[in-house]
Amino acid sequence: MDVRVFRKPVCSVLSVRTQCLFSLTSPTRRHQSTSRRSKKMLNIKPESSFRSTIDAKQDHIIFNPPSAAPSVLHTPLKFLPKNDRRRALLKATENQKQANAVVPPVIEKFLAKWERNHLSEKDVEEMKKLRVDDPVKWRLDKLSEKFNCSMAFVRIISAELTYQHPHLREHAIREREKAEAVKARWGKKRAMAREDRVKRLDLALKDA
Amino acid sequence: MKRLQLGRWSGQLLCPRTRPCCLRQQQQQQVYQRLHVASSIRSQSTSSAAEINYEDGPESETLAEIDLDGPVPEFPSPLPEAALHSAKLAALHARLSLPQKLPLQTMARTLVDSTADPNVDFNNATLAQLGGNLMSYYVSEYLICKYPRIPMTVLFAATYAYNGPKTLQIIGKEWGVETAAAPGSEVDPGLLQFSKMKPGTQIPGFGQGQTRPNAHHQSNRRGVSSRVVYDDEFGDTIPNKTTTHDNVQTTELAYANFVRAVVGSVYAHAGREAAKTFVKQHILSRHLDISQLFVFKWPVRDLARLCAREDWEHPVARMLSETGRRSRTPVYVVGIFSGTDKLGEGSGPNLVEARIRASVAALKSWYLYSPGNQVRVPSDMESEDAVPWEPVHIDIGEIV
Repeated sequence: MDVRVFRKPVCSVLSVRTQCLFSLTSPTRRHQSTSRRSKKMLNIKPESSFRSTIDAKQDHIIFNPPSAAPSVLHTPLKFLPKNDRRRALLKATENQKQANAVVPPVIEKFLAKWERNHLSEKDVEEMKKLRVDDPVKWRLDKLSEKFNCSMAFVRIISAELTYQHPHLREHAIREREKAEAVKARWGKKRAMAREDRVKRLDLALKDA
Repeated sequence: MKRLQLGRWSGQLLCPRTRPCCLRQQQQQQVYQRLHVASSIRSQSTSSAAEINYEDGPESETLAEIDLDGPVPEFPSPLPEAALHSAKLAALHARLSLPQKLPLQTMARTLVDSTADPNVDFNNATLAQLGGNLMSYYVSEYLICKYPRIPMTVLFAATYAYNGPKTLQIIGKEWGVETAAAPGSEVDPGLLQFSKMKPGTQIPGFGQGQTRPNAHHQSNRRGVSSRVVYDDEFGDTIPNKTTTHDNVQTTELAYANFVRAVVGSVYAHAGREAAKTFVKQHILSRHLDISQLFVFKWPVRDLARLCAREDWEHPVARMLSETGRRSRTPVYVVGIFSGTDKLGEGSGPNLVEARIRASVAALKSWYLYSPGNQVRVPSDMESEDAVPWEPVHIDIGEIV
């Protein structure tokens, strides 16, 4: 019994998770077990826009909208045509904002991994030759890796080749059959999850 | 621009029987017309000189041949006098606050479909043609001026949502118009009269029997440009004669033609301003969330193309906020930035979806740019005291 009591705090100290460091004294953690404590917990400082109207110098509007996605009907400054009157108005507020604005961090995952516009005609010819000679070895991702270009570019070229060469067409059919066979082996759960993923993508493309 | 003489126009739309002249002669003339003209279907709305009933003209000799004492011939639609005694019709006229210039007889005519009465002098075909054209003109000029960058496919969908047959049917029903079980002269003129299609009747499917020149091709391409040229105002193919049913009508189209005919009759009797106000109040006042009509295929790529076209910096996805990365239900809020300007914002349970949503939001806000609600449309210039025209914003076109 004593051992168990002793071991628990030690474990939490040794654990990597930082929040556990503060729960070292877990028996002494305060709960909202009394009404006084509960009231104290809920006593949050009000939003600054909710100023009292009693001691205000003049009538004012409280503007504190709940956080929500911005409306697409509010055209960003960049999208307004040159002769639009709203441009001047928005420009003023944008300038104020930019003085102390920090641009949020870039998402690394979406930065282009490949170079752009660096392939010569010779490179493209070589890529075509490799693909035609051995489509099994030179898959699209392998080609993209070798030539340091995007998959989209490789796909454009291979689509043209597939149209021209019958053996590539057969290869494409074989690949599709293979994929179909894999899909046929999916169980109920996985099949449903994949179907849901497609539905979610459809909704995202409408932003619905 | 030469102004149209409406007074001259409405004369031919008002059929001769509604003119205040000798009632006896009028009745005889009707009987004569019904017996001899009913079978002739004409596609043009202009009536030939022989059918106009001049008040002081000589009585036709052929009238004597008709036996007026015999049994009353069965007419395909109710007589115009009945319109004056129909409570439904008067109520409809009052409910829509139609101008007093629009007589009840014309109102009764808007309710007679071409499948009920094939004679164009007594059905609503001509009025529906006129009203339908006016309506689609007012709707499309409003949409194009309000959203100058709207893509063509979305414009088609929005036009369909405003004045497509489905919407017009809803409007007709909201006006309180009901259908008659079958057309005939004994029917109350306040009911919508048309020959109903039997359940199970084959309706031509998509692309069957079109008026397109390449309709015989099995796999013809229907690009947006060709839809502008060959198809109707909603970008749908126009069915040809072989696939349309001549003597029956769907309820949807019957209602749609009625609503169009009301607009046409307001134009014919009360003028352009009244027709425009009517369309504004009944069609354009309806709420449509245009931002829900967009579907993109490659939003991230499209946005990159837009930035390249407009000489802006390449769009970059940046993390605005996130919560619960290691949990089962994380939420990422991603913003798309070009330089330091935010173009769009979206949230999703993974970074890929959040970026797609942000790109879609950015593209929508590009396409849905609007000069404002008070934008002037070309037809505003038709009023007498219009201030000089300022050119509206015209966009260079869609991104891809």
